[in-house]
Amino acid sequence: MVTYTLAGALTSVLLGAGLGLVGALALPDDMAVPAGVLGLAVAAVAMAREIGVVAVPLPQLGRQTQGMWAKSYGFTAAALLWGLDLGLVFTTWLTLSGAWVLALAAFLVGKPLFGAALFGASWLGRALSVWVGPLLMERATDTPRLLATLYERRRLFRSAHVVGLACTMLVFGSWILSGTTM
Amino acid sequence: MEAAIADERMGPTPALARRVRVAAIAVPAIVLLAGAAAGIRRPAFVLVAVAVVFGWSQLAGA
Repeated sequence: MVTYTLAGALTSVLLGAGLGLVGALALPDDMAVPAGVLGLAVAAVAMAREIGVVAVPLPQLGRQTQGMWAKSYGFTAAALLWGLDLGLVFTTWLTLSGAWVLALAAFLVGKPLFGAALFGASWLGRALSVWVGPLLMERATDTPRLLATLYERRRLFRSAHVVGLACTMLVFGSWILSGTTM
Repeated sequence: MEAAIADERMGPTPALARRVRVAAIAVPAIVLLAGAAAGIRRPAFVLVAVAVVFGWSQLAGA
């Protein structure tokens, strides 16, 4: 679990820093208001998608990480590879749209450190499930049961995502009002 | 019959369902409250908290 978490953190932080760097190089300094308007619009579409108002397909590669790595390389190396792969966020299936809103925010703020913090935090949330999951189970063999329960309760997770999107809309709105992104 | 037995073994139990429900609500609530507190001075901190919630909620596709 440690290997997986650290490997994913590495690629996520690099991804976020890269997006921030591209934003810093591509965007002029006084972009807070148009950035806020664009962010607000994208977050609104994302929220409409998650609520079910509009059916917007997520741009994504639509691939799964390789389960067979465990057989080919052993569990430690596979955990490393899975972490590196999933930490890249956009190279595997996305269920919900928030990752794209985060990518836009990291780009628009244009600070590599902030982008790294943003995607590092996102990975922290994703990897948290690996740490919390065992605490929820009654027996070590309950993994299929846990997955079935997560599937049954998927609306709760989607609702949390919608609340998160509402928060991003408030932040983008604050950019417009304050004239600064930080 | 075999499928029904397998279903019984794999299906959610009330205790597990309750724990998942609590975790699904508590984790984002705590993180967003912390983000809101930190975001009073710098709204960008709210985005960091939201990022944790976005990562966590990918469990919806587990």
